[in-house]
Amino acid sequence: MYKKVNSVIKSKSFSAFTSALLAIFLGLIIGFIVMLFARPERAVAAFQKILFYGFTDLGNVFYFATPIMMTGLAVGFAFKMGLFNIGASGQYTLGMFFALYAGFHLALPKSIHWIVCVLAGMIGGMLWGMIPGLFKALLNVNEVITSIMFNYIGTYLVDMLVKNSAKMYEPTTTRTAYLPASAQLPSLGVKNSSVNISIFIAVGLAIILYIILNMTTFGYELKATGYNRHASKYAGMNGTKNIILTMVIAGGLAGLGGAFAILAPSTIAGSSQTYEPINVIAANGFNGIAVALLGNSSPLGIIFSATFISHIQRGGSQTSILGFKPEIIDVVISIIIYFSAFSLIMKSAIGRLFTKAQRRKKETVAVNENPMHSSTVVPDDVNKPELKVATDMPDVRESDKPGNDFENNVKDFYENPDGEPEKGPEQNRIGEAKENDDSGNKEV
Amino acid sequence: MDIIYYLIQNTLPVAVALLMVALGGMFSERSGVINIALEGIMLFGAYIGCLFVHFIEQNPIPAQVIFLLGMIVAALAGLIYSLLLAWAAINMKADQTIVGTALNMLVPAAILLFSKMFFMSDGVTTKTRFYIREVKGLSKIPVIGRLFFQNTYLSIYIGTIILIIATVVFYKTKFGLRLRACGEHPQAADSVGINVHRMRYAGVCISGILGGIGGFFYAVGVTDGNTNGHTGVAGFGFLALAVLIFGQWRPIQIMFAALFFAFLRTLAYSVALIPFLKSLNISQDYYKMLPYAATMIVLAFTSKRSRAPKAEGIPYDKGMR
Repeated sequence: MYKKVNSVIKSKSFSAFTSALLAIFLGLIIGFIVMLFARPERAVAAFQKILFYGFTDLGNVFYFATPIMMTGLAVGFAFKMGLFNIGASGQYTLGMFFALYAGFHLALPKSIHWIVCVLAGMIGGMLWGMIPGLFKALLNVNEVITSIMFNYIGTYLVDMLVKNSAKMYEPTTTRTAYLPASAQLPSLGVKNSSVNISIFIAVGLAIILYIILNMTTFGYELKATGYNRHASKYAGMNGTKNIILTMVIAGGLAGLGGAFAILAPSTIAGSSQTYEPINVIAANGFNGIAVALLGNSSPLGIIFSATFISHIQRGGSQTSILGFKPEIIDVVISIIIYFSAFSLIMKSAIGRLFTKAQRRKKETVAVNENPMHSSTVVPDDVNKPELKVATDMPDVRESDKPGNDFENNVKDFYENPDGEPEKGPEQNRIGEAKENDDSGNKEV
Repeated sequence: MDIIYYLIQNTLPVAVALLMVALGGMFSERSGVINIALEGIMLFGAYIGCLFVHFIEQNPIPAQVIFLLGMIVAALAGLIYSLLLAWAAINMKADQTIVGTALNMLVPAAILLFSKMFFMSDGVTTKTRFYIREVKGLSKIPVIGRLFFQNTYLSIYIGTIILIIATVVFYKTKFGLRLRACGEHPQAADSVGINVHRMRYAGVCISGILGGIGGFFYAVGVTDGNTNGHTGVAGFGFLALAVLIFGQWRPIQIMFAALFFAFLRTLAYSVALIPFLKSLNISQDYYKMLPYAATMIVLAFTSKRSRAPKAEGIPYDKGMR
């Protein structure tokens, strides 16, 4: 039992979980301090709203969790490959635009229209995700810069296209027009909430991603490339292809997020979600970074972290009743991200906290059992037999052994003192080594 | 000809903002710390600087003195904010890209929160105009006088001085050499007695100071004293990073890169004034994308032979070889 607990404590996911909790804790505490400074008399009440309001409005918590779950998956999936997909915002916006376009321009029956729109959104995101992937894989441009630039280009492009389209844009409201009902996602029918079928799709996709990452060759290659690009390349994995593919998938996920956000049904009959083209980069993309970091980039963790972020966002939106502004949650989220970046040090600190007493115990035992400490001087003689064993490699052929070569040379010299040895030992060995290398490469 | 003068006069205030921030990024990255947070540092400096100007502009102080004071306040604000990055990246060995992203997200949210709660607005706008019609005496010089001493801002001259100082510090002093060593091979630098942590702190702090100044220059010269949490500094911090890469982490090349990007941006916003571009009848929205798209094209061509500081982004660990 003790061993079991210990193995859980030492496991990676546990330390990731505790460091995420610590980051959340610090984020909330600092958020609370900010609130205390801003409006001391109401800070406690507002903080309670942030923590507990979400439980009374679960429908909307899940509704708002869906898009950030998708962008979180988009960021987290790329993280597994060692890529920082900061461009989820752009991919999200493009996905939204493609979904809008399909919603307005296609006339299809209710049963398939929304599916087509969702798929269109996915394709839009894929296109926008592919670009940083191509830049990274083919031209070695850092994906962070590329995706940031394409956030701006994507946002400006979509805003321009929306504004120039008479069918999609409503100049009087400066927003997009209402989507036809057939393009909207089927609602789950929760009162006063737009929660819809997409939350199940998002969770399903997260589970599929989990399976891909943990049970397929592609997932393995992806993680291997993330750990060590050069080693995985040496092992014969196609890094170029994997980078592009990862970014395409990540983009598709973020694009789905955009589609889910814009295609969600409205609580008011005859209306729909709308988009306002005001050249602002989608915040949901950046929230996806927080979601991915808190979820330790694991698809299953992201399901929970997205729900949590959505939960405090709902609470935060309620603080405006008490004279605060919902932006307090953005402050909290960015502080959470800030502390999530410390995961390395936090993990080790937490590990130390849990294993301190135990390790001390172990150390004393170890010292008692094995009196030879590293600082103990070991006489030279003791080491010598080991050295001999080490030089005698098991697979070396007779002719390759240095001793044999030397003996042969000496023999040659005595038998044929004027002529050169017919085959230099060095050459011989190098040649053979080369052959071995080649065959080795072919096998891989 | 008037259009060319107009374009250059309008390019310079934009370029000097980019230049300051990119020079800051140079100090940080050459010391070995990636500074994605430039955008946030810039916005923080701009906001605090403008806030300061907003509070003191009722007093009868000459506009250019207010400008200088605001600049100093913005520099201090940038310095303080950059300490958050320095502490996380150097002491806590955190992932520098993620910390930078968090710092970038924090500033607009904090500005919106603060402004909405206390000013009932999205940001702050200063009333003082820092615009200089013409510099007496110098504006009469043919060509140069018109280019550099008419319709301008004080920021251009301060920026030029800072560029010269930065170049000299970077290449001609012991400090500059040590800083660069820490970005290339911190272990080697440490082995000859250079305190790598202190050098990196210095690099990040200088980037904070220059980032804050750049933000203030942007607020004054580009947005006419308005700083808000929605548009922020419109990605100028990120553009500065691109300028830095395009400029190959070297001061003079960075200056030319900054001028190039600033010119593109000015062009994008003055399409209506240029008969040739106007006759093409392309939507102005395309031109708004131009600086960002140009960044990508430039990076695509330069990245193959680009030489980033070797130890950039790697936390310094004494035990590692």
